Amino acid sequence: MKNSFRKWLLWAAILAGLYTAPVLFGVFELNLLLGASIFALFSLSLNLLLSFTGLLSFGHAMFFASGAYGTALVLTRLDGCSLLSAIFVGAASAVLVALVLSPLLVRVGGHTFAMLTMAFSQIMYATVMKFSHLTGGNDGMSGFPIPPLVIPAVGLIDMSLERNFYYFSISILGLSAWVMWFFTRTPFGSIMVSIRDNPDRVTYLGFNVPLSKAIILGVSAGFAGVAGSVYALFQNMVSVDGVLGPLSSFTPLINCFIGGLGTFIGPVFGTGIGTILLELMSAHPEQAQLVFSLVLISVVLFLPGGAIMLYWKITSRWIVLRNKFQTAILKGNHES
Amino acid sequence: MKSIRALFPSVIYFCLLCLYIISGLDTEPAIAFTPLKADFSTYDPNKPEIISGDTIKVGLLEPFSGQSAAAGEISNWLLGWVVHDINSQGGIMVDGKMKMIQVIKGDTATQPVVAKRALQRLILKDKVDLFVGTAGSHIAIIGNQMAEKYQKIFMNYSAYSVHLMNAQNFNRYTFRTCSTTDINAKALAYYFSKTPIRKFYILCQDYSYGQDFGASIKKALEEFVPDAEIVGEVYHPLWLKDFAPYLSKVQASGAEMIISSDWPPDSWNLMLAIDQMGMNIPVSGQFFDDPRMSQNLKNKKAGLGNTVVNFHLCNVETELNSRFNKIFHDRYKDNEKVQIAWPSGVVGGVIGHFYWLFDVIQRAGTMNTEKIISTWEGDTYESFSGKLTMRKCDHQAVMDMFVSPLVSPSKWSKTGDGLGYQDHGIRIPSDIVISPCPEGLK
Repeated sequence: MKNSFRKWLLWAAILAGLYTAPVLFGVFELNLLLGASIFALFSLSLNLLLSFTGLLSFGHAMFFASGAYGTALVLTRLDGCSLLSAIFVGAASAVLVALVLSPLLVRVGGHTFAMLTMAFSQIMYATVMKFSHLTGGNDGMSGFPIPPLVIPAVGLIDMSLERNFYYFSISILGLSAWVMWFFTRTPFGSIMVSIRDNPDRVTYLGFNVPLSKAIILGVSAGFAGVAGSVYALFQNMVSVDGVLGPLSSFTPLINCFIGGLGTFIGPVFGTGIGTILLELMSAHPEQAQLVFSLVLISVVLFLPGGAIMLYWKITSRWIVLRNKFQTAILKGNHES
Repeated sequence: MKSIRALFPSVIYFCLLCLYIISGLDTEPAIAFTPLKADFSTYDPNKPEIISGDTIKVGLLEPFSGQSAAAGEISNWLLGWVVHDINSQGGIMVDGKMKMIQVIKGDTATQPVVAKRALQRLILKDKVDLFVGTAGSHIAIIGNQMAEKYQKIFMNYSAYSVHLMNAQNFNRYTFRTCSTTDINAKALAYYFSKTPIRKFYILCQDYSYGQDFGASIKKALEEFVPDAEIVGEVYHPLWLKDFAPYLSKVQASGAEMIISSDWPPDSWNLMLAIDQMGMNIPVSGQFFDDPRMSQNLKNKKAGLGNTVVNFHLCNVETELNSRFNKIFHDRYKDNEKVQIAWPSGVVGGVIGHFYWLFDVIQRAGTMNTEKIISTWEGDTYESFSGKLTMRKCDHQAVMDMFVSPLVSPSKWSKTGDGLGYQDHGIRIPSDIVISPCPEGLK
């Protein structure tokens, strides 16, 4: 009862903090939070694949990029397209790419899956460059209209204002995280974990592993697409290096490792750490990669469960210490 | 007599008053800065003076990391030159105060997303009054958008794509002081019309600037050299390391001249590949005069005949340019670390444009954006190589253009006997190269 109350209190504090952020911070800091929320969603989508299904993707950026380009293209070419439709198109583009590639990807696992995803991501990079009349090539696409959010009975909300977009982005992150969490709690979620632990046994139990993997890949790609789509709307631009560059696939992976695999809060936590590190290193962008590498090596060597594990270790130690202290007081009272 | 004596104090008082007024009139020009007045022997871009307090904050949006970091360092050097000159004269009088200029760097890494983040930091966190830049037309378009969004003056001195200031992309906060792909192409084509060269190969970077330049040169050759033959046209990826496959095609085409929009490091790598392959074909464009590139060429014939087009050249004869050349050369002729001993095309041109910007601010007398816009629109400024005019309709600088082939030995090389410009640059009047205002802009 006490724990549950604390949990609700914690969530209430987080929500209150997020709600008041536009009042507390300036536009620049708000933009940082906004960017972090987008990358947290991207990391969570990869986490679904990596932590719950055991599929390590080195090319997850191709789904993020599909979402970003899908949204940018529809907003550039289709007059009067609504905000949610543009995001839907982005997500659908990513799912489509996943489904097209799934016949090849779902039959493999481990290193082969990682390498194949990386190869497909590189093919997508080359394709984007090749079709520069559509994608803008190296120039990218920018300056497309950002439609307002239409909420029935409320009206139009101008999404070109940072504050409005911040609330929208945080809501998308919250909703997507909840859907992904709920997805892992369904019976299908148990199949996901079973595929990770022992795919042969899942086959013996009568489940179609390749089909299940294809569904998981589609769902993960869909959320990566949503993240890419929101990213395109936030930046009001998409560039090939920004969404498909060498580090694009590794950023969510690093966030997951730094934050902690196997949880939903870990990747979000990792993205927060990554954003702070990137901000601290903004004056020295070339050294930023070195610092990131050192942090990643340190986490892998000394904190394999990620930063969230450190938090849990500290809290469990604290609980042990507190219990000892309480027992000592009780003993003292009893003796007196 | 007594009445004259009585008047005497009044006469003295009147004379003193006149002296005060005259001295007051004298002090006004002293408040205004004069270009090239400082002692440049103490100027070192690597040891910038720390300036804080109530300053004019200028954001320098350039690549300081990645493949084209050298472009950023050059811009920092050039802006630093002008800032050193003005600050050593006490700064600029704006809003009733003498203010020093403070430069804050923003690293684009030549990537649009990184550039946008850097620009947001400059505007929202560092609170710059205005910003200048930038290498890469695909980065400049981000500058255009952000200038309009945050209503900050953006001086574009090195992004040339003609479409950057067309009706679709124009905004009243951006001023382009450099030339355009159309202007450069027309100047080159006009020059070629006076030479026997007729077979051209277009080799440009595959992004907006390269594609625009390719289109512009085809149009310009058609206009000025109707019998010209384009024997090949290729667009290569940015930051290409190996030019050999492209040059093999050039060799097979029988071209007499490569026309290229490439800028460092692509222009350096292209010249190195030409040198290594033992080819004698010259390249024309804007960035094929760089002494840092020439010093690495082993074949004595490589680079000979390269034709450079620019909005400024050090071999242009004007009184101001001669003075500038001398000051610059005296500063760097014995400096082993700096290969650029003469203020070549972009170097001298951009320094002149920075002086123009600060002169406009000085005349506006305020950092108020609207006042700066109204002062700059239609403004005329006497720069090193001639008159610059800021066209009101599209905020595009209008100027004469200059072309010069590279020769060896050249008095404009660092050693005085290496590869460099010919003695005198060829002036092409602005009315030949300038295009009318873009459609939809008045």
